[in-house]
Amino acid sequence: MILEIEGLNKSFRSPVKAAGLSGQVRSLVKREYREIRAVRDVSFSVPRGEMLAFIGPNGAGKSTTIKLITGILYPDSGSISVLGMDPHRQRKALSLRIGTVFGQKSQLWYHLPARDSFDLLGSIYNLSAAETARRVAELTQVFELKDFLDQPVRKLSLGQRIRCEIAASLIHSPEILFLDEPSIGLDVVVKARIRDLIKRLNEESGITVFLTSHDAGDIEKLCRRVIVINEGTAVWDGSVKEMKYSLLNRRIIDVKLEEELNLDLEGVTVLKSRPYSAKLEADLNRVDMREVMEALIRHNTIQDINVSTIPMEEVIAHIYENRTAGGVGTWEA
Amino acid sequence: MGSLRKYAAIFRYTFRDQLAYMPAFITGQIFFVVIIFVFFSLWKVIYGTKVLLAGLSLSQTLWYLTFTETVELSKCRIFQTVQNEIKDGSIAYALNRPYSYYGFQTARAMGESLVKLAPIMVLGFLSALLFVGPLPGYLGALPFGLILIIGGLLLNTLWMLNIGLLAFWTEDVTPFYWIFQKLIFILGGMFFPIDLFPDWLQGTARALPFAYSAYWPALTMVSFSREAFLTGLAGQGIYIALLTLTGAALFRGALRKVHVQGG
Repeated sequence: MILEIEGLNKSFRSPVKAAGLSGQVRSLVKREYREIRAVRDVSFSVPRGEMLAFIGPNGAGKSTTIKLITGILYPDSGSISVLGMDPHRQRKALSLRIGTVFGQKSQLWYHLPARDSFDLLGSIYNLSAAETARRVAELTQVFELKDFLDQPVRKLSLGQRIRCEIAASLIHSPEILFLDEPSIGLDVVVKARIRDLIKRLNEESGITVFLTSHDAGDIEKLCRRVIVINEGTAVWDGSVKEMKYSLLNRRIIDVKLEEELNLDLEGVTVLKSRPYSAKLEADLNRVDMREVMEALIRHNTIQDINVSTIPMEEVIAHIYENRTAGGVGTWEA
Repeated sequence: MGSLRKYAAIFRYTFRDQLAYMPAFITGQIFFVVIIFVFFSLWKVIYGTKVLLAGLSLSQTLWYLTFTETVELSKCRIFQTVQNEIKDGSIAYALNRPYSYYGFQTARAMGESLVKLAPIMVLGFLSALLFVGPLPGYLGALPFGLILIIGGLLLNTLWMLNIGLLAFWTEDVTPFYWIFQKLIFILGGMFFPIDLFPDWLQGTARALPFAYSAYWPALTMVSFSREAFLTGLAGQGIYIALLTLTGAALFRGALRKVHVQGG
């Protein structure tokens, strides 16, 4: 296991701003604090080489967890071991073995060619000039940077820049890569390209990838496993595919008909109905797909039918919206 | 310290990165020439028929102001960068790198400051030359003056870095910067040489840290003496050490606060 977390808890004290003038004056003299339990009893472990999606709505405890893992914060209780190290005690030593890409903030020097930033990062990570040169050559090949490596970063397209960003975070051959929103702002084609590169990187170098993203595509295309954090609790830890089925086990059925829809079945909601077509949603926890099909065929003349799963985005939205419900138990399969 | 290489590299690359802004920066510094002209007109009236004021000639005073302005205008407003990184949380990513955040920002700010310094030195030289003629002993004093000017830039950088770190505690640190800047303007002798201050204030002003950002470097340039240079150098050394220690303490306090109250 490259990362082991056991019973992690972390609370913050946040000053409470009292309402009204008298409240404000009072809070100047005596501050009141509210305890926020940012992370509650989170446990998980990650084997070497895994690509893991770590998702949750804003303010759910994601970044607190990452700060705990990287040693910026230390837990109130519970234990963390990253690459066999205690991140808080050995933050600097750990930093030499992890890499980070923060999609919204560049680590490249804007007016210099990416090659210069790579060289600088080589110095920062204590690599010799020869080692840096060797790594840059390798990464140039993997990420196909040759054509623009010597152009100032400001002249690169966003896609090219992100490729350079990811390469930059790999100069020191980290064992764990934290990717925070790597595909933000990219167009569909470039997104797919970046995902391919990350996938290849993981397959070829065996690097462990910790992906934080709100992009359903990133999660589905890259990761087999997903951990969902909500209100400080890990509400889901399992395969991406399974999450889709067990948390929101519904199908969307589009039918083309010769007359108006005639269907009344428990567990099936009619989303849209027009004279010659309809859109239904079947909740497979309440009704069998076979029953739905039989009822449809018995009462209607069907021209065409299309059954699809709920898109990942909706699954995620569903999880996020249920934030007050809390716990996996809410979505019993 | 092997890690010095790291900070030297950060300095070097920022320097090169910032060179791109040089043309725009120089254009922006037309303002500087105007300031020197205003100072010239003002001080000409103040001097009237007097040859010396507190031991300085009109020419020396104008050159003096050129140098204090040089330190002021070359500084990099690093407190804004630090404040922004604290507010948007991206400082967390900087903490995950094998360098000291403080050292990194210092190296970066100095890289930027030194890029600005060169054209300002030239512009200042040309404008003072134009208004009051050459400064006797300029070339001889230059190596020593430059050391103190760069020391002054480092002092200012550390001040601003520490001010930036206050963003962990307050919403906006800009007011602190304003106060600091006014202290440099007045007590640091940026707008008038400390020698013109009333007697009771002179000693204090010379000893306070602000003078080491403006007064001592400029004095060394216009009226060079070994004592002035060495006093300036020693004072800068002491205050650089003190500010670094303060910064380290602020940083530790900040991390503790993040730990208690969250990012």
